Amino acid sequence: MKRQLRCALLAENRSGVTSLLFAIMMVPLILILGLAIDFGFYIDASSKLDLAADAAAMHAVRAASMAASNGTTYQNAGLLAGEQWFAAQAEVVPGVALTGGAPVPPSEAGKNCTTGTGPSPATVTVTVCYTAPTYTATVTYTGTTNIFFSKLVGISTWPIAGTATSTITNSFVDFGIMIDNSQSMLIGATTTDITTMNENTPCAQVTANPAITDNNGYPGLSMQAYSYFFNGLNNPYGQGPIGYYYYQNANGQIVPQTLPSLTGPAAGQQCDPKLIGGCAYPASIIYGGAGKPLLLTKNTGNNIIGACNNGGGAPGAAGPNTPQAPCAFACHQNANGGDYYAEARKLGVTLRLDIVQQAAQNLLTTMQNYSKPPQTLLNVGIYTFNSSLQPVYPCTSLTGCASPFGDDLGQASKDIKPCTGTETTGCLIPPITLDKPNTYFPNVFAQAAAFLAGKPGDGLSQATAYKNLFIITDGVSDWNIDANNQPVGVNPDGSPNGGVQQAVGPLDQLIVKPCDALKNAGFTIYVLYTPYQPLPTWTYSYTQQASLPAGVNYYPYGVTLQNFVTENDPTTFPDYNPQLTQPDTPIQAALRACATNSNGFYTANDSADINNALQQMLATALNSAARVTN
Amino acid sequence: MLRHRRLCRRAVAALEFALVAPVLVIMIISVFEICKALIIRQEVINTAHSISLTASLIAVQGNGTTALSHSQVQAVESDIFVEIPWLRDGIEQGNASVTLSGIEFSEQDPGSTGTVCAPYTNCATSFSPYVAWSVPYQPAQNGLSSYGITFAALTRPCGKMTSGILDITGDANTPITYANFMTTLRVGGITYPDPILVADVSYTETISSFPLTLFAGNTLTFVASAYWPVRVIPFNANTSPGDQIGSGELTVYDPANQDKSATAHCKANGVSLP
Repeated sequence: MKRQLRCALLAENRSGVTSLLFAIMMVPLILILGLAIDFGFYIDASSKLDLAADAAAMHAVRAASMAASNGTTYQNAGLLAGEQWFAAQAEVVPGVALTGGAPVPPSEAGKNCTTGTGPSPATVTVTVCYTAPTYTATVTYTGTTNIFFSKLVGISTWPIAGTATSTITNSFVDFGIMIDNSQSMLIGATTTDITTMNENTPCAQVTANPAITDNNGYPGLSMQAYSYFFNGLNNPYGQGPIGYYYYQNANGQIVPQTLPSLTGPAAGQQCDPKLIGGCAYPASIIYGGAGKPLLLTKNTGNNIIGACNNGGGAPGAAGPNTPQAPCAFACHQNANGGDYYAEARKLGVTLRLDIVQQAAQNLLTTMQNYSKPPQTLLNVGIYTFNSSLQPVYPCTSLTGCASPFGDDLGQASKDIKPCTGTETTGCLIPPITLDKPNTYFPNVFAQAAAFLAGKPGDGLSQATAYKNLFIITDGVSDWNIDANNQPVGVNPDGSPNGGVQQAVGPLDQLIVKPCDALKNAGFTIYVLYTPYQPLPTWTYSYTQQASLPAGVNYYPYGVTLQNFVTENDPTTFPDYNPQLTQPDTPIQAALRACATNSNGFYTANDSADINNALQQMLATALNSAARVTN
Repeated sequence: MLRHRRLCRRAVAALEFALVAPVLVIMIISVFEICKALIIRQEVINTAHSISLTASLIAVQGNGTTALSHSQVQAVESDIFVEIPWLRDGIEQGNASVTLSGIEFSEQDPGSTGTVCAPYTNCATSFSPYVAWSVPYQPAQNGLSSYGITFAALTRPCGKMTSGILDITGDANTPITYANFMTTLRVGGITYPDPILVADVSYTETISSFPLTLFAGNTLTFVASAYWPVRVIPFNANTSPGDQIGSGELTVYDPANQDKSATAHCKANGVSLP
């Protein structure tokens, strides 16, 4: 009873109850507080380790991909990079003990995976896998966090774990490389080369005549028609005939002649570099004689290369003088074997086409470095074009070709080796016959679209490779149109016949619309526009104007003569650098429209720039950013 | 009377609660402050993480090279307001710093000759990191809002890092603090060098609530650094990693748009790199 009473009293006694409750409550309260702090540190550790794992996975795929490109073992590179960079960044997190990662996830089994844990004690597991064309790196860490307050409830550690995966897909890519090898691409590669050509090639049919040498030891040139004297030394634009020439008389004797009466224009009357017709020229010139070529050599002291007019009439007789410019192009061949191309080779002149082919070879070397086992991802096809498309590699014909792309990049490089001399084999000789003179994009692009058939895919297999087309051209395209913009004088195959007239239609008909056919075929088109170096003389596109049939518009090089002159005038366009703010020239604008993307159009006109542009085009086409997948 | 008063139990609970309430309130405030600090601490880490990975992504150019303009760097660095929203909301008004740096590695000193190991292989020689550029977040100078936060213009000293590099194998326990975090790069054991973007973030939180004001001088400073590789594969791997500095292959900071502040990045300061 007494005890019961005491208990009842105790139960009724409310003094200190709040304190008691508070004291009791303190235990879970402190525990909860402790857990919150523990959890905060756990989250903190987890954040740091996840950051380390993410970055390490990125390092690992990057290293693996680059090592494969470099011919080293991608597995080791990937593992090493992943382990090291995880360790570098997983700074000491209080109370965390890492014990290595989990084994390879089942989903990665069978994907050619390699797993490593780095030096002992293991802190991380890195798995590098490659299934063409994708590299995957998985970084996994597991461990425990020591905790502080949770020990009060008998928990000494919390498990901590994380996984990060990065991938890089280096896609299968087919590259078609179309190289313009029409005569306009046979321009001298540098201004020095152009000058050399100008000095040595009056625009006429010329053959070297080794039987004749002048007193400087230069070989003589035999010429038959359409030529004129120019002084190549003192005035880069030509000055009218002065100096000496030689001709072969009826008896086959070499007859030296001086032209004291044919002096050059007076001071201030030098030839306009743009329009030679504005110059004052002698009205007549001495004939070399029909069928008896005038023989020309360099003059002593003045570096004169002679030329002659018409060639009709009796040797030594005077005849009308039709000015004809020297030529910067290794073209204007004749069917008898004498051609400027051979002359250029003999003179050691480097042609625009040579440096383009050299740059294409460099491009193939870069591709080879990239496309090594196990990631042999690139196939190429090389094609030249002028009035039509000519496959070079892997096929040499438009018909009967199993595939327009091949994987032997070394062979492709050999197949486009530029010629340096008068080789007949072992290098890619540009067309020097009259039937392939001029570029004709409508025909070329139509042939290319048909020949390179096959829709591009997702790049994940050879059969579904991405398809890129590199087009290297000066954009100069020659065909005649009438007043209705219809082609005049077109051959059955679509190419323009003749080729004497340098006339073209509107550029959208000539380039932009034909190019659409290629785009519609699914190609990503990159265009490298190689505008002419500034030409010292312009009559190449001028003197034939009178021979155009009535009603045919005359647009040298795709634009009006005035535009053409402006386009090539170094004072108007001091630099062809596309980064400058100058407006596009008409050809440039048309070719830019042909490129699929704005970053797929390049302009370059010297060796280094052409080389760089091609490498940039490749880099753009192959660019594949790494990404974190989870 | 006295007995009656002694037996009077009215308001006892209130009295007792009044006694324990301060302790309770202090505890609740402490929990709040601790949790807030832990949240900010994690957000600082996330900020570094976010800035570095975002910068590495936007640096990728269409042609496979990498470059960042000044305004891009500033924009990326403003991610701190995304990761720590309290800075925008005015809840937190401490001092911060955000710095993005481009770090490259060279096997040898500029101008000297020596063995360069095969590219992207395990190099026996250890590499030295070089700070190619280091750009702090300076919203005021770049027309961006600072939300009232003061940003310290901290930069990593440019050029070869000769001190403060912690070897991950030998000196791993040296804590990274506000005093040393801008000179520290834990890459001493790296034999597989690869250019990295480094995001350094600090935030100093002012503690205003008792009893935490007793600790840490009323402020807590959190620092975090994130190292992140660039996200693009140079398609031409012929370049040796020892030759990467200034090669333009990676981590290029656009010098045409120079830092507008006095603490310009390295190249603006005339620190020449090989």
